[in-house]
Amino acid sequence: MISSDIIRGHLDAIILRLIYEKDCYGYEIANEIIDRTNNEFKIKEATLYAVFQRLVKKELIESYLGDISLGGRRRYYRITNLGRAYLNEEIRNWHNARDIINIFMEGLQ
Amino acid sequence: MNEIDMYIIKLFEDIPESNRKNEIVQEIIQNLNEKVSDLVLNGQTREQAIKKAVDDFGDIDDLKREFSDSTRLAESKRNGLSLAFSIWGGILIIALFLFINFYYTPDIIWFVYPAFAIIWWPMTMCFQWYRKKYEVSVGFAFSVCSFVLIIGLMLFINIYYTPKIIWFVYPVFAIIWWPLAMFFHDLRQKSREDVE
Repeated sequence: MISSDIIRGHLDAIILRLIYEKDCYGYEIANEIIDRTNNEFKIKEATLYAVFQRLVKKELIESYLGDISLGGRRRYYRITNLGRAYLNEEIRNWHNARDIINIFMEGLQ
Repeated sequence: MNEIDMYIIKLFEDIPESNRKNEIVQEIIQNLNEKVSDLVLNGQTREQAIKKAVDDFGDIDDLKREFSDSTRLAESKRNGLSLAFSIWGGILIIALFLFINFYYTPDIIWFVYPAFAIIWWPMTMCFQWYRKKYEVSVGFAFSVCSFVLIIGLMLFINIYYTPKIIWFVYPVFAIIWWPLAMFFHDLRQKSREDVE
């Protein structure tokens, strides 16, 4: 597992991005994160649901129940317009921060 | 109900019941069951799969914080409403006594006694609301207000019935120990926190 503190600060944006691409339910997102990072980063389910709660409260995403499947109905999340705007803003912030940090972190070795 | 269901319900047991809690418990149970059956499909035994799902779940401190934030918000809203109700209720009842007093027995002033009793209602609500909202101790402020109220009543009785003899200083002397004690208690608490 790679330095997770930096990632943890951007979990909201990461999850928002995945929901932005398509409506997802919790387990799907957890899997998607593992797949895309080739097992480098795993999100704990408990953390994931805390992020959902926070994003819903900020009205960045909203939830709805899907069709019946294994063990009950899946709860899907979809991004709101506010969520899209927030995600854009977060990405811009990240680019700025990355550029600044790169100035000092790159080129040595 | 299977092991996953029971594990999650147990994990959430000290979060107060609400629709939102039920929703999220259902959601987690559904997702974990799906995970377990995926793991089983990939060749693990059911026991292994359940153990892995439970081990990977993590602790729910963050989730609890999300919940307590919003329950506190709801609670302070409720407190605000009952405060407003107590203030309006208090005003109305006192106004009624005031009217009865001066309409039927204008020669004797007695409405202060029921007013004195009723005013404690909005007053305690007010302090409770403040304490919950800002999470500070209101013991000292409450004792000062109570002191002023009680002494006000004593002063009224003294001056209204026996203006020639001043006796209200004795109850003042007796009751002033209350705010004083609260004051020094707060001071001591504060100095203890400073040391830490």
